[in-house]
Amino acid sequence: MLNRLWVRNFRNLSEQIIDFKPGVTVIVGDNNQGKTNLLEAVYCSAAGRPIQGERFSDLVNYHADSGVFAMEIGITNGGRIRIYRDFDRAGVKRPVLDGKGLSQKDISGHIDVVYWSAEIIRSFQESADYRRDLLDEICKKSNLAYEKLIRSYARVLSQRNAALKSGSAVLVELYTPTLIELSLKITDLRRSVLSEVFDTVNHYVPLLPLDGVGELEPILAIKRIDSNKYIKSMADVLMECSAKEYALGYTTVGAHRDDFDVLVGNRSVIQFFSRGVCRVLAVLINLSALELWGGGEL
Amino acid sequence: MLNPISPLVEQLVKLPGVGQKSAQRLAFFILSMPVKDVEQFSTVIRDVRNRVTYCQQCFNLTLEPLCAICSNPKRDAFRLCVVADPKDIFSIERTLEFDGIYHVLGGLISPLDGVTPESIRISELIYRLRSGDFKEVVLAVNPTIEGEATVLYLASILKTFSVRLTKLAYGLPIGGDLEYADELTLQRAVAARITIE
Ligand SMILES: [Zn+2]
Repeated sequence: MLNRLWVRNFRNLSEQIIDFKPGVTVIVGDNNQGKTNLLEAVYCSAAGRPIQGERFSDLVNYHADSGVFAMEIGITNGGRIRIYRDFDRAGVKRPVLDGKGLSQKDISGHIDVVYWSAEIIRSFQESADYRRDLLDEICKKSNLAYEKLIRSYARVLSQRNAALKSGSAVLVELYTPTLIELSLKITDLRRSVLSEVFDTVNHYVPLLPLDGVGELEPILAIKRIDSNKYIKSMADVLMECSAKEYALGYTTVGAHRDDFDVLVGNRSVIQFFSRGVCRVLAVLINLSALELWGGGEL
Repeated sequence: MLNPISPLVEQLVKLPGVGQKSAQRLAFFILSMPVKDVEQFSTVIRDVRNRVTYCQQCFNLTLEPLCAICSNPKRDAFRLCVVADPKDIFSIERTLEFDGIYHVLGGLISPLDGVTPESIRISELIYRLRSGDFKEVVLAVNPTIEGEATVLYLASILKTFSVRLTKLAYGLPIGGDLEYADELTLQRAVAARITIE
């Protein structure tokens, strides 16, 4: 666990040293005193990267060029280690322990961090981007090969889009088989990861005050928004969309359009339940992924 | 004031994998070399660049009209191995498994980079297949997205020739562990499994 945090020049925190006691820590303070910044500092120093949507160029204190994170972590055998890392507007440097460079993996073995804020509600909002990011983060943790798969997919997608823009059907067809192969692979993987996550989430759901949901009702289900499209083979769909795709200049079907919906008793959570319930479910999804595959990266 | 070594650094960063820092280190190293060595170094660079051309037959790098492989009578002239770049020939030659001759495409089909089938040496390949009597054509390109697309294209073009068309098998790294192989590699390795004789 985290015993002590020392942070310098992180956002509005010019210099702070904080000692943490065992158990839960609650940080209380007036507005604009740096409570959120402190939480972010804990995340950045342990995860080695900013929270989703932030950049290091915005995280360095306005009056400074660089800053420091240092953590004292209690480790399992009762010992303590101190890890330092410098950061500047370009990013964060490699963590250092006793003057020796560490990898991010070395740190993740000792401390798990997850950052949740009110933003988590976005998991259930209209745009699928946030949900897909969330899904990708979870899949990366559960499957070591996932990141590579996603990178290959991004490549084949941009090649196919470039081919569509060039208007050459010969070129487009060269990339279609790989697009389909990778798409199905990624979607299958996402589905199995989600179903594992939701199995875990279901254990918690009876604890929630959900109006009108009987105890034995099926509680959570995953539905692909695009699922009816996937009932037909992807190749057929691509064929059907072909004219539209050439006009648009991009690929309209595939894993990059994957999305999921959370249903409680067959009702869409975002449509039928309060923001509070949505937020709790979003936390539960993240928590379940953490329970299944460990943290450090989310 | 202009940094006296920056013109050299500017040239060195043009090399692949050389960033500003390594370029600076290399520049300082070059400054520490004897003048004679530096002159030889720069002469060799210019010479090699001027004298090395493409083999008229296979487009491998060569100093003569025909490369060492094409002009070697011991090579099996009925087997043709298609590669993307001359450097791939070096890799395959190191295996000592292939005794045929080569054809260098000079790139892979990649719409993102504006590379179409017309901009690589596919028409030259077709010409060679028409005028020669090949028994086998091996497509030996990297299993990247662009490599696969190129193989797909060549396969569709070459199926009109009565020639055995092969491509490199997907395999698992020697000393690797099934548990850590990425699923796609593993899936393809299973699909392309071979009989133990
Ligand atoms: Zn040659």
